[in-house]
Amino acid sequence: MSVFDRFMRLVVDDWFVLTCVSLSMIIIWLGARSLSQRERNQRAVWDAAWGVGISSLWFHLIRINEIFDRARPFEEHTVNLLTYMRTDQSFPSEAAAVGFAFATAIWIGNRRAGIALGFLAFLWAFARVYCGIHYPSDVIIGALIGISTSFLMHFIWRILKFAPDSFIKFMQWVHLA
Amino acid sequence: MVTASSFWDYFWQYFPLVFFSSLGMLQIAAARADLKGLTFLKRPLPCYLFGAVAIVGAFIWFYATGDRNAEPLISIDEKGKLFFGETQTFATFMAGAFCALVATLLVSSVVNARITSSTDKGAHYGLDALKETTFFQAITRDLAKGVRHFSNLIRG
Repeated sequence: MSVFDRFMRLVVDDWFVLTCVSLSMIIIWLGARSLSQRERNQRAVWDAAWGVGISSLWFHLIRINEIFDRARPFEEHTVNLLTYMRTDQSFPSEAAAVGFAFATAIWIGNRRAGIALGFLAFLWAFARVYCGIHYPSDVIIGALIGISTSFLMHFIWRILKFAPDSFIKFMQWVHLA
Repeated sequence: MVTASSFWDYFWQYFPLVFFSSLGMLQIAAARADLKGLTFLKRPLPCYLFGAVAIVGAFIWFYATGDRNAEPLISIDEKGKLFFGETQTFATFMAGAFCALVATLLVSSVVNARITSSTDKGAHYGLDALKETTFFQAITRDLAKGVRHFSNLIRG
């Protein structure tokens, strides 16, 4: 197996990117040096949590995968499958939705961190196609779902400002924000 | 129901990765934001090193102890469909991150107790309080302030 294949196997699994992205929320929440940037970052983490949560709901509550019921690429084509066989439907990609939901929400509050997370999300989505478990259209539509959900949640929380304000105030009260 | 592994098998494989990497990330974040009351070590550079070693070590351990692409760690039903995978992953991540936060607050409060108690300026609010005091000191100071305020209210 080539070095690139090994790298793709690392990126494609269910833990690596998801854990890295989730860990980055800790440094984004706590690690800002200025007060104004910290406030923007904490709002972005709040938006990201909701963006990812609602993106996942499309898949688990409304079950959009079952509406389209598309088979995985390895079921219909000869592919170099580098990971275990997923048994759920292929379209759209939940991994891409979650990755890009994180990246978009953070990008709104912190451009540099958002671009870094966007790169990770892209890598994750690319690896899903490269390893034979998604078609490119699965990850493109998944990414669009994640991006649009995060923007939607951002605008909702801008209108219902009291909710993130109250949460951050509570966290400040216990010295964690 | 066929299970690839029980929830607790899964939990004890993923939890240490999250716990130790979160612990490392908390140290890096605290050092970066100059939150002296939250760090385990006095100077920022050793904190960065500690954080990096904890994160990299946790990932190396996780990937060295099993082929993570051979089969899902999560439960599957008789049709081979994933069930509750994401919920388990999320619950485990939250548990690991929460335990890492509690461990950080406890250890940093003990380690820094002597260093910071003499320089308690006490004026900061929120996270900024942890630049000069430990979490335990900040909370007890707030509680004492609250009790004083409450007793003054009662006395009129």
